[in-house]
Amino acid sequence: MKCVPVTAIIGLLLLSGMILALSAGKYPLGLSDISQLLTGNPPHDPRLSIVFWQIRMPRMLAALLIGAGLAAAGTTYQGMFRNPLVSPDILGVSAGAGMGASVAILLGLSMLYIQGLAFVGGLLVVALVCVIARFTRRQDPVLSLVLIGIAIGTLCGAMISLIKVLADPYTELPSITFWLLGGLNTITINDLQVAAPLTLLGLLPLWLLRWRMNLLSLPDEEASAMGVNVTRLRVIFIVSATLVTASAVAIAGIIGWVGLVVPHICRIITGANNRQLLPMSMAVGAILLLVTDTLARTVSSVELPLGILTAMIGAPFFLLLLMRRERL
Amino acid sequence: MTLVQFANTAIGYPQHPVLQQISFNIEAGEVCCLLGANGCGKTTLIRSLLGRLTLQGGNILLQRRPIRDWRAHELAKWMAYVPQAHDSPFAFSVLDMVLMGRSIHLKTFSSPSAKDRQQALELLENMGIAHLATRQYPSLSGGERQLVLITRALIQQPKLLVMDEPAASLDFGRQITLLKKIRQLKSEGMTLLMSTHHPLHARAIADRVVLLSPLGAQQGSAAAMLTGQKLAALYDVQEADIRHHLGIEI
Amino acid sequence: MDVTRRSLMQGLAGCGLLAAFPSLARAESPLLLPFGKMPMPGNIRQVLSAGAPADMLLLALAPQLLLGFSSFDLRQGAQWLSPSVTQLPKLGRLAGRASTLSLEQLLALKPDLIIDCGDISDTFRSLAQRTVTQTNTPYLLVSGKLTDSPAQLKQTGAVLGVDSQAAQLAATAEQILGDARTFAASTGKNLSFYAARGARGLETGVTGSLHTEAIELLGLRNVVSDTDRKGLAQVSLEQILLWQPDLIITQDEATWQHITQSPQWRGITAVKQQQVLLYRRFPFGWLDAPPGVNRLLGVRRLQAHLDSGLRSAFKAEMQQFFLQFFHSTLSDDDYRTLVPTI
Repeated sequence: MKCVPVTAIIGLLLLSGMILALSAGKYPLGLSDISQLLTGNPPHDPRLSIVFWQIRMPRMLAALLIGAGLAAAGTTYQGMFRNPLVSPDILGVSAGAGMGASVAILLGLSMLYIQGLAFVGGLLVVALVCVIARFTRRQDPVLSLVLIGIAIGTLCGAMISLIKVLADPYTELPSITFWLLGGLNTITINDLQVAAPLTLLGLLPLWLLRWRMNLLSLPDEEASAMGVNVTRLRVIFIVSATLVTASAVAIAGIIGWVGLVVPHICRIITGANNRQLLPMSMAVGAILLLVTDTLARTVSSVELPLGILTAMIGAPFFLLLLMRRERL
Repeated sequence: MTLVQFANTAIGYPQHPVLQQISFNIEAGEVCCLLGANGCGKTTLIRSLLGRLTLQGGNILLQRRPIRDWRAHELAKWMAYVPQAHDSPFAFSVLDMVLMGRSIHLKTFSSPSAKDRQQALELLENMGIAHLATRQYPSLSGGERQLVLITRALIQQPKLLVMDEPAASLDFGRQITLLKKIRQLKSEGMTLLMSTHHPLHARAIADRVVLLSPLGAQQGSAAAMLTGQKLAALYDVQEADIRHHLGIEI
Repeated sequence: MDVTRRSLMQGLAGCGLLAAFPSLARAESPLLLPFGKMPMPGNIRQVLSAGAPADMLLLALAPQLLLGFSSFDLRQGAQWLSPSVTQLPKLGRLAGRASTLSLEQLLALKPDLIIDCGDISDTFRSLAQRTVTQTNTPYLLVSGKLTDSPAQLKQTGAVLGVDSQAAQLAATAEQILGDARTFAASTGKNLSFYAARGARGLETGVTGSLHTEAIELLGLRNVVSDTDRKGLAQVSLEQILLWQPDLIITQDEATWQHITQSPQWRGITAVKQQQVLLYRRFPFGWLDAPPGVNRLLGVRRLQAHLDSGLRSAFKAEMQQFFLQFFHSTLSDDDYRTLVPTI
């Protein structure tokens, strides 16, 4: 029975977050302008239409999509790796994407290539991790995946550092740094047109199979004895979560902490059952990123990198949770 | 009717064989107890029966069909597994934990219905732990967890229940309840295979006892297997100590 | 919650950390900071450049002493420079942890003097001191502010013993800077600009940063200013729409293409009026990077763009600049390639 008010509160928060994100910003755009724009009336200042439709709206949608996507991927990975300290980039997707993007920036390529190489880099690294895991002789496939992911991720991190050393310190290096810190300031409608279908494609299996996600947090032989094809289910989840994360990273850079912290917050609200946890995580992740991004573009005279803000909000919150709760 | 047949089975790992030439049968509707010293291969044998370990030789047949030919979802309709009570990294509620056992009866994309929920509550009631339904699984005692895991296996509606030392973490009273429950399940037509460290438990419920030692498997009725002499050999202690310790004539 | 360098520093000071950095409140320092025993001008035969601005400075002053470039490999794609310049090898830079030239390579090159130009904060002073201690090679740190270029050229020239070349260069620099100041006082101050960087053009230099000081020299107002941050920052397009700069300047083709073609940027008047200037690197940048004396040419080009009276003379001035600073003859064809429109 307590479900109804919680859902209502989250829905209300989401709605007010969206209104806040659409009305807050450096360009003066009031609520009356917004209602005018939404009803299709031409605004008194033609630039308002650009600000609203080309800048704020895509940015808000991207924050919602990426926040929900990263939180869903984090929830999935924490569940299937039976470890509450896992984040969506545990299998190296962010490191791979970072490497791809850095190479593209080093070569002076356009945004299309930066995003493309980031996306492909993320997917390739996760594929590599899975292939290597298949050839390991360890008994515990989950632990193998995590360890190999950490190793390959570190390797990519080293490659990124190498690229940073090779990059021109006055031109390419700052761009690489900004990219690695993440941010939504460059989002365009075109980015969304490509990233949104990919993200939704990855979210769909996670959503449909979310109850079965519970079974993967049991030891393999138990899940298997309950009739679950553990390997197949795990592959489906890895592919889906990777698709979601890689799409997010490709258009927004590396945004940490959302995928790690949000599932924890939501377990307090809904409990561990992914049937309720996954939708809640997606909603809270969307709200969190929306609010953080709105802060990132309003508190200072220039943009603050989103990755820095999510860490500044996420890390203390996480520590608080660790101290307060006996069990994550 | 023979439900499970171990035919000259060798179990273990490629570089590390655990047991070889095991042969015994489990008949439908009987209770079979596995006894053996620590590390003798009881858990390995159970893992092999569950199809989680590749056999190193011979065969395990379920319904005269080799276990390796069974797919996980087919196998789960016949056989449910009760692991030793363990911790869970996530705080699932007891009801959620039990409902996971319904997975084989649900469509791929669906989750448990109100009917499944009702069935789970009835089973919890039946196991005497209905009051735990909303508690978080990790907050339970070892014994309570074990009962939850048994309930979870039962809701799977198997014909064969495989239990790995189900009494290990139960207090004396709960052990007696468990044995009663096993008898009840048997009377309802369930076949059970359980490993145990308690010869007395085996004597109380087993129709068939399998003794596992590095020399292989011996099977027979409880009376034939649970003799002081055989137990002394199995656990590598003096026969007199066995008699003295159990305090009753075996 | 305006996070600025000052507030961060105040926060750190609150923790008592700032006491450890006494130099943060240092007064004006001299242009040249020598470390180790400076050799006599006549005894300097080989000089090592530590970074891109020093490459520019030394190329202009004394290419005959230069062992190689720290940051440029000109063997391909720089056909407008003379072979004597393009044949110089790329050796790598000295920048502490970010060095690409190892101390052993440095020793093998046997320079008589190492010169670095740019920031002379304590970080770079300690780096210089450390390099001197480890390699026993004298090290000269030159403060790299663009407005100081005449003095930079003269004083460094004196150290290297190339006073007459230095005097000529300094005169050119002085003239460019002087004209720029005059322009700044009249026309320049009425104009605003945005310096676009990054693939989407949304990275930029804040007012007072190394990346925009050349443009600001002409009096143009940088639309991006932060209370006291002086580096690069990210902005949103919404802000640029609000600022409506008169000019948008970029040095990257990819940035220029995005700005001129993306529908998002169409609401900006400068884009509509085709006031998006692409100052392509050749491979030395015009106004932004590298932050060396090369920017003097960029200052002149931008002034010529804004002041039609200077346009006709610019080609000759640029050819003269190439001769003086890059020791290369710029043909009319090459001029048209480098400067398709002023």
